Amino acid sequence: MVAAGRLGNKSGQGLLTGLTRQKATEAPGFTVLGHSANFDDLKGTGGDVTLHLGGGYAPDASKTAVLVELGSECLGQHTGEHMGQEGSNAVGFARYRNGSDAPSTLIEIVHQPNTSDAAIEAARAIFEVQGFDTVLCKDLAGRIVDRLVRPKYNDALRFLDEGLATAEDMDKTCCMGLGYPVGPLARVHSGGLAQHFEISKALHDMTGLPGYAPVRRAVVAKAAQTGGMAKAAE
Amino acid sequence: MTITKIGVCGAGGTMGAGIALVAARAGMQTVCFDLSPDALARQRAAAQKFFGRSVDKGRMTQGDCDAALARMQDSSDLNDLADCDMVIEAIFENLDVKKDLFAKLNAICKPDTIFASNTSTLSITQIAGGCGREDRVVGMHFCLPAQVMKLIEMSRGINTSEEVFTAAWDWTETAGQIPVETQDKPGFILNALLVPFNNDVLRAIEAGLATPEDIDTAIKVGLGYKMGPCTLLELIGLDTQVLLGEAFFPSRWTPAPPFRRSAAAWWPPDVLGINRAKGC
Ligand SMILES: NC(=O)c1ccc[n+]([C@@H]2O[C@H](COP(=O)([O-])OP(=O)(O)OC[C@H]3O[C@@H](n4cnc5c(N)ncnc54)[C@H](O)[C@@H]3O)[C@@H](O)[C@H]2O)c1
Repeated sequence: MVAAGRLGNKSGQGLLTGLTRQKATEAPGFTVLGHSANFDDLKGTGGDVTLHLGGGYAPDASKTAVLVELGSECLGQHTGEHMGQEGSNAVGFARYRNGSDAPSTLIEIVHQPNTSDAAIEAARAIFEVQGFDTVLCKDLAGRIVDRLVRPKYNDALRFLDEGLATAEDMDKTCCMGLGYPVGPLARVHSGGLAQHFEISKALHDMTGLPGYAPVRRAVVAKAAQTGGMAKAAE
Repeated sequence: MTITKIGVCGAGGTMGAGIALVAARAGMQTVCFDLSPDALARQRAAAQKFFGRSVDKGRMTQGDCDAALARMQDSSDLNDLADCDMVIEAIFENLDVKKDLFAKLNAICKPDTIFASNTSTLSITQIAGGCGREDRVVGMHFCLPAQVMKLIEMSRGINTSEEVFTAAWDWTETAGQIPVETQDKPGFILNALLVPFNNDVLRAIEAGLATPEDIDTAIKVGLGYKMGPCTLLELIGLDTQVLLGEAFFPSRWTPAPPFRRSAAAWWPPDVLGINRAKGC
């Protein structure tokens, strides 16, 4: 399962262990319940795994795994939590999608402290056989991508207000200097600023960290969407 | 003004060497200045290798390669920079060391020489403050490796004149680079967005959110970045990330950047609506 790899660092402190997983080639059978725009083609009846799309959840201890599609909420909101000991055969998952952009092939698989290994392996195998790329993360706010990228979008939007640079120059800097395919401002706008507000607010509510607090431009976009106030210029 | 002769201070170092290659490749007479002759000798060998590879790849003729190398003059004597049209400094990231260099250069260089700083974390206004030609100093932040990366973040100090900023900007384009304009704020654009992001990545690893490998995969697959943040952090070096983080670390008790810059530039009291005479 694990291939040897790299790495050292000029400061002598490595981050990467060099462990890379091989993708699964076989998966257990599963039953799909519910609907989700992120998984139009996912169908299945039978097998030892139940896969809830669209946010439903019903515990079933007789199964190897019960998979629960998550939005911006935590898995614990479905299963309950207790003293850091929570965990069962329930596994969360989310297909990463930048707001209203097309969904990516990334599936973030979410586990709790005592989630069974068999349930996690079943989840990984099911999605990898379907052609997705999976990563495993703790049941923390924002999982991996939103947790890391939303504060950056907030920074870029705030810098725009503060006149650090034009939106075009900020995006150009990230694309040319860091190899991003799309700059942070183009990205957050294409996903939708109101959507960014929703995600940032959920993260801020859960973490209390200032980096997640929706910035002015996101607040304005959300207000324009919901309050009938002047819409942002097209 | 026309810029045809460039001085590069710190040309024995990583960034200075790359900047000297950019200037010489673009047809400029280039004085490669460094306190360390050994470092200059090492970079001369690296320059021969770099241009040699460009010839092998068909990006340059042998004649162009020889001419570019001939335009590069190594020096450890500051007086050799006297008639440069622009001096770009890429010496150690230390305010006092950079201020000292610009003050010395001010006494040596012709009056219209432009001074540019490649600083990553310091304020252009502060570096320029007290050098004697505050209006002729610009920020010119190249990316590593400078001879390969086209982007340059250009910034003005409070006193930088429009003529100087435009001349320096035009020079970067003549040299085949792509400038963007940013305010003189900590980290400019690139590091202001990257350093906090990298800190969040390190915090996430510490919190056990996911393995570094999975964080890299998530960011590459989810966002299409060419390189995952953990791989990038290893290239940058965790030690450098610590230095960058500390340089930008804001505290409620540290003077806000505008005040530091105004003080460094000796702005008259009424500009910010503060009366210095009151001594508060
Ligand atoms: N390394 C990067 O990724 C990077 C990227 C962009 C900007 N920068 C900035 O570029 C500058 C240089 O960084 P570096 O990584 O190339 O450093 P470095 O240590 O590789 O090189 C510095 C060079 O400056 C020389 N030097 C020191 N004091 C001098 C003086 N008074 N006069 C002449 N030469 C002197 C040293 O001998 C050395 O050769 C710093 O301001 C840094 O913030 C670095």
